[in-house]
Formats: sequence, structure tokens, C-alpha cells
Amino acid sequence: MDSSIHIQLSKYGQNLGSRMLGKQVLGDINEQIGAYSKIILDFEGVRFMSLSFATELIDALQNHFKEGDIIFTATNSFVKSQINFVLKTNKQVIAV
Amino acid sequence: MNITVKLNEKTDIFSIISDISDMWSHDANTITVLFDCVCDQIIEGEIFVIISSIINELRQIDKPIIVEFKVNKHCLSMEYAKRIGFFKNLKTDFTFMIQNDYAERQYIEITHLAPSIYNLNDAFLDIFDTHFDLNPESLNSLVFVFDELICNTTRHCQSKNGGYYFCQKNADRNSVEIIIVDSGIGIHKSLNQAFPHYNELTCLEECIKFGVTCGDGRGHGLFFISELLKRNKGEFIAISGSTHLSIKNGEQKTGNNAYWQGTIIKCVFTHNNALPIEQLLEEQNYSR
Repeated sequence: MDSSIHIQLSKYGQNLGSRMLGKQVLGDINEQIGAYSKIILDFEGVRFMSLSFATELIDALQNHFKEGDIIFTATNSFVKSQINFVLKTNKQVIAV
Repeated sequence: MNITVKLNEKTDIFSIISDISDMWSHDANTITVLFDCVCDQIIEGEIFVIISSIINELRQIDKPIIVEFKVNKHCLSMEYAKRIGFFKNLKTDFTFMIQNDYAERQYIEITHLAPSIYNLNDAFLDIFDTHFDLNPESLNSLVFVFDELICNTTRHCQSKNGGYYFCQKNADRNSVEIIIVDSGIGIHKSLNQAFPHYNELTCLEECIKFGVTCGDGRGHGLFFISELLKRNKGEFIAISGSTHLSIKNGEQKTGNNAYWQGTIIKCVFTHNNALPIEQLLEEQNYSR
């Protein structure tokens, strides 16, 4: 049976604006995910998110969860555009 | 070492850097710097951010600095400087006060950006929301630019003192200006870790291209900022070391300047324009 963990991101603020915050959120999530097979990232109450935050969080979660098992809910158009961009480009990072 | 810096309505980013650049390399026991404010017009806030950055960086490394101000009785700039937090950042008490109405100018005062900052608190969102009077698309784009600039600085500048930012809406110019100044390693040294064959100017030209990164991050932030400003007829200036790159009216220029240790980024964001950041992010053809 699939089990999912629900993360309410607004507890970190209405603007998720830095990479270091992304690391902090990721650290919090890592402590909880255990054997969950899906994660729900709930953006209710979040107005803004930076690309740095989104990249930090989503890239790492994609290493842990299968495609389609990261579920984004209650995203406004701005947040949605950032998420779509990160998902679209995550394979285009230039290795140096 | 004594330096006198004249501040007037002609003072701009490049002239102030030129006036104070020697402070980076001095070996005197004490620097006394006199700011001679001789104009009766407002000096741009970005000038005070740059002064804050160099003085506090030198203090951070225990260089003794005495800061003095000479002000004529018609000077409007010192009260303005006080309002935007200049003296607070210098930890200098300055009591010269002239009453004036700057109600049409909305701003986020000069703010120190600690290297270890976790998150911008939501206070600046309230200022943008309440006082800047922007349409939703412009607000999104402004927050995007602001967030990415701050992320870039905290991520890459490697300054002991962090950086300083200042943001101001100019209603009469239909624009919002953001300046962020650090006294860190600069773009050349930062990118050189990944691109050792690039010179200082090439690094500036490359850093605004899609996907160019020192290896820490994806290299998208400055690309989107510069692209957004370019397409919305804004202005973008990056100064690092002895070179600068500017984009204005869609035209990109580069040149040399007096040395600045670290990086200065200035963005003039013309709001209520046609292209929102969401649309830019959704374009399909990004590749490197």
C-alpha cells in the first residue's frame, strides 16, 4: 500500500526565498520521510518561492522519490511556473 | 591616509567607486574619509549602500577608519541617508535633520545581509505589497529578482562581512531600483574555479548566460534577472573587480572601472511591463 507524507510549506514563511532555507526544509523532510513512497508538498499560504529554494528542494527529492510520487498542491501560478521550470530543466545542469 | 569624497547630484556608482577605490589597498594606520556633501539635491541611495559596504568591510578586518561628514545647510541628502538607514549601518550617530516630504519614494532601507542568512523574513513582502503599489505580475517579477540577487550573494560572494542591499521605488520614473553590494571574492574568482581560462571580463559576460555556474548552483539566477530586465526595458549593471557589464534599452556594454573588491549589482526594474517572469520561465528553448 502506498503511503504518503504531507509537508505544509507555509510554516516556513509565505516567501520561500533562499537556498539555505531549502536545505533546512530538506533536512526537516529527510528526518520524516522514512519509508514513505510519496510526498505531498502543500503550498497553501505560500506566495513566492525562489528558483534557488525550488532547485535545492526538488532536485534532492527527485533522487529519493520516483517520478510522479512528488505531488505539488495548492500552488499559485507563480510557484507553479517555478516548479515546472525546475522539473523541466533538472537534467540540463552543466557538470563542471 | 586622508580621503575627501565630494558627493553631489553628479555622483554615480562609477564615480564613487573611483573616489574610494584606494581605500581597498591602503596601508596607512588610519583612514580618515571626509564626505563633503555639497549639493541641494538628493543623492541616489545606491551611493550610500556602496559606502556602507566598503567601510564596514574594512572595519571587519580591523582597519581603523574615521568617517566624517561636511554638510551645507541646504543639503537634503543627509536626512534621506538617515531615513534609508545609512548612519545606522555605519553605526554613526548623525543628528542633522531637515524636514522634507519624501512620501512618493518608497523603499527598503539599507540592510545588512549576513553571510549565513536563512530566509528573508516576510517583512519586505509587506512593504512591496503595501507601499509599492504594483500589479500582481510586477510584484511576482520584483520578488523573483530580489530573491535571486540575495541568494546569489549569500551563495557565492564569500565575504566575511556579507553584503548590503537597498531597494527603492521611484514613482516618477515608474521603476523600482535594487542594488546589492558585497565585498567578497568577485565574479571572476568565483567562476574561475570552474572556468580557469576566462578573464575578468569574460566571466562577467558569461555569468548572465543560461546554465553558467561555478559548480554550486544551476546558473539560472543572473540569466533570468538580466533577461527579464532586458525584455522589459529595464537596466542591469554588474560591476566586479575592475570591469563592468551593463544592459540598458536592450543593449549590452562592457568596460573598465576603478577597482571594487567584490560585486555590485544594480537592477532598474520598470514595472507594469508586458512580460511577467512566469512567461519567461515557461519558454521552452532553454539550453546550453
